[in-house]
Amino acid sequence: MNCDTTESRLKAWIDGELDTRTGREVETHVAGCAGCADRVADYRRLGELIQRAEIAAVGGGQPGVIYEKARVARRDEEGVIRLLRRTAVTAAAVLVLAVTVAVAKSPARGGSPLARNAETTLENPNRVDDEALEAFLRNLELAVVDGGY
Amino acid sequence: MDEKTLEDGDRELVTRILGGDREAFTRLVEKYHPRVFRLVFGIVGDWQQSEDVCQEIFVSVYLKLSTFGFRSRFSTWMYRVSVNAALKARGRAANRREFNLDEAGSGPGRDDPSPRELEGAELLSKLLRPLPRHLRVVVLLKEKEGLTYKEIAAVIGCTSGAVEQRLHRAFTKLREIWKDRFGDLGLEKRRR
Repeated sequence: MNCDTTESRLKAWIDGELDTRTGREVETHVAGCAGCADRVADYRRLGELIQRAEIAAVGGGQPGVIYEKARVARRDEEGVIRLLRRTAVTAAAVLVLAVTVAVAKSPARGGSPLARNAETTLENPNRVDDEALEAFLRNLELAVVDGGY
Repeated sequence: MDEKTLEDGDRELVTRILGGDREAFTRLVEKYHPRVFRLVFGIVGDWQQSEDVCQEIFVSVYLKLSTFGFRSRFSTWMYRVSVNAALKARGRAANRREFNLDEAGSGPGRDDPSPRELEGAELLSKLLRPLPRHLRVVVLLKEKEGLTYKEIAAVIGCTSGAVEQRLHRAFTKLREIWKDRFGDLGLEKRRR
């Protein structure tokens, strides 16, 4: 190894991060090279200096204050989620109703049970197709469940 | 206490917090606050702002804890959340031009107070000031937190090789800047 190839590995060598073979190569080079040895010494000094700079946080983090903030943040977050869910459910319900009305007003015959029900209901308000009614209620239920309401 | 025991302790704390145990959250904050603060301060460089960022971090941890899932070590996840929050805060401060450490330029000025006068936090800020934040982060994780290259890579989302390169660049830069002023930093200059 020469200085060019060794230089970029010096810090990793100091930190013990090189594999055994590369580590030995670096060690051999450093032992015979004043420039690289100088660099190693400087890196070590800098590392020691950074490690020596003690930082002690004041207040120990105030867990009580943080906990209260976290609880408030969670409540806000849950409030937003609830609002979004309600909006989604309402939108789904409106959509289902809109589709039902559209199908009911459609001139087509022999379509889905829902369409037949709509027609039947329009023609004879007193008669309701049970199957179609069930399908409609199932759709509505699914929409509500999907919305997580 | 070995790493495995520490991790087991974290697992228990996290499980208890998810079960609504306030005391467990208090213990988690007490356990991690010193390292989180140290790291955040090293990146942000302002004491008051670091306290605020630390609070944000623990609130965020509380809210996101259910997504953790123990796919990595808890301490790694904690460091990742902390680094991201600190970098974001530093970006905000830089945008407002209120970040003291960067106002002096890229290196130590001749009119700066002698680093001999600086202690602890001030010394660290002074020393790391010339480094861009992505280099500052790896230096702190290595030298202050004692993480391995692999652990640092897991925290910042890169390879061990990239960590090695960044540390090499960081130390090369620091050496260029401080080499002739080791005496000012409280280290004796070598006799040549």
